Amino acid sequence: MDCVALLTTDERAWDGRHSVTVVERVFAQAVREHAALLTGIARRLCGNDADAADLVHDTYERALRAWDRYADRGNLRSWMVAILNNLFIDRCRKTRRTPKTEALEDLELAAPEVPAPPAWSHVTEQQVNAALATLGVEFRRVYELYASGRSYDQIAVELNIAKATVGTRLIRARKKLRDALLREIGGER
Amino acid sequence: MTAVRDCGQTERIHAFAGGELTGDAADDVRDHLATCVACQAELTEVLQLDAAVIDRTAGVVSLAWYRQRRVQLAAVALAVAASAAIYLALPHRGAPVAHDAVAVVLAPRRAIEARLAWPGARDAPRCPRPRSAPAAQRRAPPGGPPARARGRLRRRARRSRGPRAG
Repeated sequence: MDCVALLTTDERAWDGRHSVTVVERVFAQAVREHAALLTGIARRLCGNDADAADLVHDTYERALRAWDRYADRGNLRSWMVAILNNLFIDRCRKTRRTPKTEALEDLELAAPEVPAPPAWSHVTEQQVNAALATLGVEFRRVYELYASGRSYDQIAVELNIAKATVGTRLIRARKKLRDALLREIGGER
Repeated sequence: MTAVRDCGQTERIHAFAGGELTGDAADDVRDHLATCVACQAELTEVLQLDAAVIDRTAGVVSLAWYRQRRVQLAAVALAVAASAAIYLALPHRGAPVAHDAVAVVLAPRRAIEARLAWPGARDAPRCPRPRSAPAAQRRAPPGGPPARARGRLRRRARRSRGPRAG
């Protein structure tokens, strides 16, 4: 990623088969790196593979179009997740089952532009580990199992707790993690 | 997590972000997300936090999983190693002899003496002896040799037995 800052977007490089711009090369690499994460999130949000694939494709397209406006090259993954989230909210608005008529001034709309990545998207592995260490054992265990891809039911069975407890602990774990990460970032800055 | 007009749907948003809601429940959340800025922000934070943390914790989580199960994994490895050692230590006697019909059918063709020497023959059920034919079948067939030939055969048999004593 560091090389991107040194090269202009118009410079071309040889990728072994044909000449590509730096943007194309970096973007192709980003797609390969983050495809699994984005597809997983899109599947959970959309509930089916077809819509998820469309959402991920639109995310790539939006990211490629907005590449020049993406000043912070620190965390491309976080930026793409933000784009995917915004596109998903847009879809929710378009495909709403029960449209309501509301006064335009009362309606709160999300910013149409791709937002800046949140503060904790810059965190390092050490900061994440430090934040995880601040969690209590019960919260850390639930979050680790969730992070390893287990469902609420599987976590409930494994830890012998109620499914509702899994949800509650997960929410509290996320809140504590977020606060700890913000403290870590704040302490560093 | 968000301070923007919390609408009390936090748990549902977290469950939705984790893929726990399906069908109508998920559609309800999607409808709600279309208008609720607080929940939109909540969803954004959940996704961003998980994206920032989960990939980095992948190694930690997998290491924790192995640590937690190191006793079970060690037991399994020990059992596999012991089984392999026992198998290799035992002398190999070839395939066990099966005394069933399939083994007999698949056995190579051999002379009758060799077949009787087959060790399974002792254990195999004995074949029933052939029974003699019924009396009706023991009689001469109805056609038989002609009468003249029968007389000639009878005389020849008498001559071969010689004169009767006395």
